Amino acid sequence: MNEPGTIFVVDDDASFRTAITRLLRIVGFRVHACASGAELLAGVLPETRGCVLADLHMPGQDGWQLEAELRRAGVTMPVIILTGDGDATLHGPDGGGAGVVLLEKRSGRNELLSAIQRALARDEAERARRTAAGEPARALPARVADHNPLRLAQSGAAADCQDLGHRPGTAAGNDLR
Amino acid sequence: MNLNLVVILWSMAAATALTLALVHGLVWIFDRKYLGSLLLAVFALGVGFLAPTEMGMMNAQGPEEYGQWVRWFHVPLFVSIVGLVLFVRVHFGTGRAWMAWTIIGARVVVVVVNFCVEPNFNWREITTLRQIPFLGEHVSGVGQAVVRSWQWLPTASVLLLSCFVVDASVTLWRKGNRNERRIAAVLGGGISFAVITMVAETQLVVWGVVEMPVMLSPQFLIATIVITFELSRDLLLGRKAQLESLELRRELAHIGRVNLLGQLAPTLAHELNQPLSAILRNAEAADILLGMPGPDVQELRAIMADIHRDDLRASEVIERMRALLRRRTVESRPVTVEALAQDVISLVHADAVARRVTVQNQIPPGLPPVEGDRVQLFQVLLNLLVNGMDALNGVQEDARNITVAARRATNRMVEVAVIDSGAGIPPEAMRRLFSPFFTTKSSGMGLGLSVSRTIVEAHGGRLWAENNALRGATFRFVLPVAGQPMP
Repeated sequence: MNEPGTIFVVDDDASFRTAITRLLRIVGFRVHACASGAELLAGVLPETRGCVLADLHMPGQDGWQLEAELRRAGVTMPVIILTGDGDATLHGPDGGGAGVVLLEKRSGRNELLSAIQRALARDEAERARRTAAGEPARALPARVADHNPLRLAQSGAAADCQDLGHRPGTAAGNDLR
Repeated sequence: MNLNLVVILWSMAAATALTLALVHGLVWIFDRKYLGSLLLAVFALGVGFLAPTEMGMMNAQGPEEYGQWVRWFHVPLFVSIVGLVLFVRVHFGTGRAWMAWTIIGARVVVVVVNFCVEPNFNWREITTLRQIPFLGEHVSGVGQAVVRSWQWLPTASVLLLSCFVVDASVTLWRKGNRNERRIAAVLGGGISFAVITMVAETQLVVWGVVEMPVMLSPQFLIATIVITFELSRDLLLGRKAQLESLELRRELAHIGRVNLLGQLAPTLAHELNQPLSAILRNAEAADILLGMPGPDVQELRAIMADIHRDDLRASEVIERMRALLRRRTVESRPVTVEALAQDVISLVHADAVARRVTVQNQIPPGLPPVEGDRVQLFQVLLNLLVNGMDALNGVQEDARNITVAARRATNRMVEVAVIDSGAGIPPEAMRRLFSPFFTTKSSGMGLGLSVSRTIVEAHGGRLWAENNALRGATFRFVLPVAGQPMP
């Protein structure tokens, strides 16, 4: 269970996708980039560990719809939706959105990284809770590796990201800003 | 022929009338739009040749010569009457057609018969001339003569001419806007004066009631000058109004674009936000890389290249906005519809994505370019697309489609259609769709379609809307193909 989860970046804009993937890899995360929600859905299983970082506005399927699809497929990973509008509402059009964190696309690096840290931690905590409660063990790290042959994070950078603004005292308020 | 006052005055009248004929003729040649100028030129031409024949009569040495001058007199008289009648028809717009054609028909008969008989239409025989004192001279007039029994025809025709002019003037006056009343009063008055004095004078002379030379050129010349004055005034005022309406249209088009851009602002913000966010993430990545021992120079180079590219992308968005916001002069150039549509579709792309609308460009390649101002035509198409997307708000997400199509409608026109799959236009909205300040949107000003129609019409085209057979509505406009004279 100590193996870090994967961050699934979903954005139709190639330029932004490249940039955020690059940043997250440099700070030590394991990142898998998808150009659309459909691409992500084809590659994840309920037991996949990590979190999703999706753009709100995408052709075909927006961030809210992607989240709904993931839940329907039994994927419980936390979803962070990136908005550029500044006026997106907390909940999706059909009132869904439990487990979703909205984040400004252009929020600072620390804010972004701490949101991701917390999402990953929440994913782990949720899996631990379910295992303890005797629910079917879905978290199978070995199978994640099978289905998502993702690049492993550099261990040195992974240590670095632990220092990046993860301040428990302030983090809670930042999530839903 | 002595150089007396009559000769001097009549020569001047002829020269003046011919000069005016030339001026009006040139006006018509350079600006074919107004037929009235040509007709006025015809009238003035007739007047210009009336004067010499009148002089011929006044200076005639014997009855035979006099009779021949009267005969020739009918030619310019015919020309000026036809010119005048048609001018009144065209310029007043109220002259009765049957009167006009009856007058012209009668005058044709008079001219034709005039040249088939000796010495002329009016007299069967002129036995003697008499000398009439006139302007300090003695000029020739008819002495003993026999008037033909047909004389009623020209008499009736000129009486009808008076009725025609007076009737046209009175009708125009009654219709009554300010400008029309002015035309009725000044032109109608001037022409009626000339025609009525002509009737009185010629008939009195022919029937031997008064002793004076036959002379129409003075009052006809006055009529020519009055009409010239009015027409020049109209031309100048018309040009001024044209310039003002051009200015107004430019201003309206600008307001329309500002308004459109307001509706597109969230989209444009998103489009700017994408490259800016990418730049931010890349800069942060570079920052972290530089803090590492032995940074990856290769990766740093890639980051810089990406930042540069995103910066260009952002400035393109800004440039597009500025192009729409700029207050500018209107430039008419050939515009390729296909490329225009592609640019508009790219501009609304982000908005369409956010609103789950699929926009399809079905414009076939190889259409001839249309003539027009690219920014204004861009505005029209943009407006139709934005409206189309608004119309899809209440439609299921997987059925939100807009198609942009185009075809060569006729030899001279290209038709562009924006077809949406919305709810269509309700009949009560259809009537007022293009009226200014009519809107069904909470945020709209109701200017878009009205401005778009103004723009398309200023380009010599048409813009209209129709509901589709199955669902949704289609907005179509036609524009003239480039490289042909504007209608």
